Parts: sequence; structure tokens; C-alpha cells
Amino acid sequence: MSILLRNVNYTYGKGSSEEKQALKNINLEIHKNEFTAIVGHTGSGKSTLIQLLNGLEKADSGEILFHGKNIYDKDFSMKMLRSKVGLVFQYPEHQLFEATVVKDVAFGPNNMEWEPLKAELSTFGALKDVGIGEELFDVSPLALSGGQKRRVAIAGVLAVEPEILVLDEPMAGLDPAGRKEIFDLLKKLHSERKITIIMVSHSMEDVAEYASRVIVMNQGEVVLDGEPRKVFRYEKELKQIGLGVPQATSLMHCLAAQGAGVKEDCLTVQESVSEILKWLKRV
Amino acid sequence: MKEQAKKYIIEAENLAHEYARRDENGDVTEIVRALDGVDVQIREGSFVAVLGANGSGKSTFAKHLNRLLFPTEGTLYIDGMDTADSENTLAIRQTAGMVFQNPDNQIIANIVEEDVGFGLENVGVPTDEILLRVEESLKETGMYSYRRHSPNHLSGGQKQRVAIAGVMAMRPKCIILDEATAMLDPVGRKSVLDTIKRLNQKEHITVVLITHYMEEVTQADYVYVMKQGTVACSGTPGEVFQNVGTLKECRLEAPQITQIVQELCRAGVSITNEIYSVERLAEELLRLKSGFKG
Repeated sequence: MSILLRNVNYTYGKGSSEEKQALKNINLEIHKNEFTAIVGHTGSGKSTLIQLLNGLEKADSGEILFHGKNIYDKDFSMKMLRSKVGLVFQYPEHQLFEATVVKDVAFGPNNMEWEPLKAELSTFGALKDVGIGEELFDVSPLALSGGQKRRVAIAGVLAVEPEILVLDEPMAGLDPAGRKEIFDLLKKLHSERKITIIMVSHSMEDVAEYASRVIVMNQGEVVLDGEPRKVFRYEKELKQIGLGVPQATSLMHCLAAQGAGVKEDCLTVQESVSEILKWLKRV
Repeated sequence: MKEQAKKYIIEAENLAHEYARRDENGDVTEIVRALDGVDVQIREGSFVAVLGANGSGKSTFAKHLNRLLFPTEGTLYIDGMDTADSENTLAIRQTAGMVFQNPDNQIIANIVEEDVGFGLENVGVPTDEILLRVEESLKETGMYSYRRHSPNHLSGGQKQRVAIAGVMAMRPKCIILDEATAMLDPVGRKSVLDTIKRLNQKEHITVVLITHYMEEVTQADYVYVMKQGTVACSGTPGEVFQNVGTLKECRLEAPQITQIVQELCRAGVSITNEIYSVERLAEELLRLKSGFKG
């Protein structure tokens, strides 16, 4: 177990005309080394949820346990929590500010007041992890391409060596090849560095391909939670809350609904194609 | 009117754009050729998509269309006006309206209807006429019920529809969406796409949709795919989607349905290439299957 949320509630704009309960009685357990996707349309509470995980926002009621310790206890170190649970915001490249790539990535370790050698090692380690080569170390972050900037921004969070990486739409605005680069990076961090990944995503295709677990939010509540293969069975329910399933899955549902004897829980293009070919050949 | 009879509203011939990259001392470090010999012809009233990855030159091209940039080589005519001639700036911008990527950067007023009327006020349109056009534009984009709201409390998709209404109020012949859906969630993207599709069909506004989402271009009449400042391929969505290799080189990826259709074709299933929706493909497959039986 790494993070446990118990009966968590959060309301923003309390006492104003804009008051809105963003999270309603959330109970969740995030396990070590999961690759979790959080989906939900705008205003479903998913961004608020991930900001609670590293203490950026504070729940109105309920508790959040990190490795069994209540993060709202007086003697709990928020600084420790924020180094262990790294948060990558939407469009993180907008937050690059240092004169060079290395300085930007080193900002976190230096801010943690680590000894210089450790800070340096983790900085270079993070840059290596995200695939930024030496030739770019002393370049201004502003001179990089969109995909490179985003990887540098992620390196800045990795440099403080988090156990859990939380990302708010890490693929937003990138072209398909750029999306794949970021996804392959997350997959590598997850499998090789054993970092637990929690990411908000809008692309069901990406979720189906990469995540081991998907949490579906609607109006501040968790409405579905499980393996993608199970969650994507509920196409009708997902559509009702403004979401969907991968086209490859939707096609199988559509065929089955019209009497075709196909397996419905295909997640990827390859799975659907081989199932359709099998079905077409069957007499 | 026949398609052939309609004239070109956008005509680019060998269009090129070069700019110099400078270091902190202002010395030129590199000459970048963002556009490199682009030929594009867009007929009045059509819906054309320009597809391309980040850095392919598609946004540079978009900025030429309403003279935010102008050619360093070649020519670009907008409704017959040469964009190289600075005298044409205002007329070109009234002909070709632009909607940008970030909804938060292009809304300026405190109330939705004031924002939509801002452009009209600037060019001195009489008040009665402004009110009329603002109402019309907001109805066209489905944002009329929000006319007295603050734009701050709208979703991204709603803000983009307000931005589109602001452009529509100017009655342009052509509207350019420069990655206007890139920052939106799927619901917002759909609402914006439905809006522009309607404007194209009902009001016969020429639409140029700049995007890297291939699923958005399936409804376009014609698609240009850009790569490193050039047009890598062009055609109807069906024609373009077949160039799997070229698309991959352009850092793009076809929607899953297209990929499935192509895989099935490769496996010897006789199925047409021009299928873009789940329902159509299911229908086609069921027909094939019943053919096998009978």
C-alpha cells in the first residue's frame, strides 16, 4: 500500500456563490507499482483529486494515509511527502524558468538542500532517464522543441527521486509521435525504476494500451474502478458521462449488439482485427 | 453552383517563410525555413484540413492566411488579394478570421456578448448592427444562453465557441482554426467541431482546420499533410489515410477505425477504404459475414 484515501471530501469556493463540492466521499487505495489512469470529463474532480495526493490541496474532511501515516497529522512532514509524490502539472513546460536545462532540473534537488554530489547525480540521472542528451544540458529550455521541453519538465520532478509520479494530462497538445515518446518514458519509469504512475488522461486508446488500472470520475465521485478490460465493458455508462471507450472496443460492442458472436473485450487494434478475422472465417 | 465553378479563396504558390534565430547578443545563429515551397489551393465554401505534427510548419502557414506573417518567397493570395502588399492587411483580416489555440489568450471582455462585439466596435459598426450580429453569431455557435455570463466561468470548449462567435460577427468569408481544439477535452473538441461544420454547411463559410488529430479531418473535403515546411501529401481523407508510411514519417497516426480497416484489407477482407465510423464498419462487416453464409 502506498496511498490510502478514506472518506475524503473537498469543496471549493466555500461560502461564495461559486461553492461546489469537487470531491464527495472518496475512498481509494493506490498500490505500489500500479500504472493508474484517472479519466473523467472537465469538472469531474480528477485534477482536484491528484492535487490532494501530494498535499497541494487539503481535504475538508476524511483522511489521506501515505505509507500508513496520516498526512494531516501535525508531525507529518509535507516536504517529505512532496519529494516522494512528484506532481507534474498540465503543460509543465510553462514552468521551465532557469537559464539552462541542467539548472532547471537541478532546482528541485537544490531546493531539498541535498548535498551537492547527491543533487548533481540525481539531476543527471533524471536527464538520462527522460532521454535528454548532454548536448542539450547547457541550452536554454526555451530553445527546445515541445516534446523535449515536456521531458525536461518531467525530469525536474524525477530529480527529487519520487516513489510516485502523478501527471495531469502529460500528453496534452503533443502530436502522436510526441505522445508515444512520453508514454514510452512513463512505461520505462514504471517497469525499470519501479515508480508508481498515476496519470490523468483523455485518450481512452492510450489508457487501454498502457494503464493497469483505470479510475473513472464523475461529479466528484469514483464511478468505476478496475482493469481497463473490465471498465471498458461499460460503454453505455461511460458515454452517458461524456466519456467513451477505444474505437477498437466500441466496434466489438457494436458488432455483438447486432448479434455477431465476437469476443467483446478487445482493447487494441491488433486484438480486434484478429477477433474479427476469426469470426469472419467461422461458418 | 458546381464545385468546379467556385473560385479559389486561398492560393499559395511556392510559398516560403524564412526567419533568423538569434543568440542573446542578437547575432544570427541559424536561418530557419519554416515553410519551403508550399502549393495550396482552397475553393470558396470548402472545408479543408491541414494536418501536421508539432514543428511541421502548419501554424506558420496559418499565420500567413491572415497576414500575421507574409511570404519571404513565393506568393499567397487571399480572395484575390496579395498578402505581400501591406495595403491589403485590413481587408485580408476581414476576409479570413482566425481562432487560436489557447482559449484563455483570446478573450478580453468581462461579458460574453461584449467580447463577441469587440471586433465590430473597433471597426466602427453602428450599435444596432453590432447587437444584431452579436446575437446572430452567438446563436450560430450555440452560446446565446451564455451571452451575459463572464467568460472566466466557461469551459475551454465554450470559450473557443465564444472566440468563433467573435470571428463570425465580422462576417468573414473564411475562418481559420489554428489548433483551436488542441487544449480541449473530447466533449469540448466535439462541440467546436460540430459548430464549425455547421457554419461550413449552412453559412458556406470556408473553413481551414489546422490540427494534428487525424480523427478531426475525416469530415473535411480535402486534406493537406505538412512535414518540415512542405506539403508531404494531399487528397480526400480516404486518399490521405491510405499513405500509412508517409503519415508515420510525418509523425501522425490514423484513428483506430482506419487502422482496423487497413489491417483487414491487408488480411484479404474485401472492404472499402472510406470508412471512418464504428457504426459504418460494423454494418459493412455484418454484410460481409451474411454474404459468407449465403
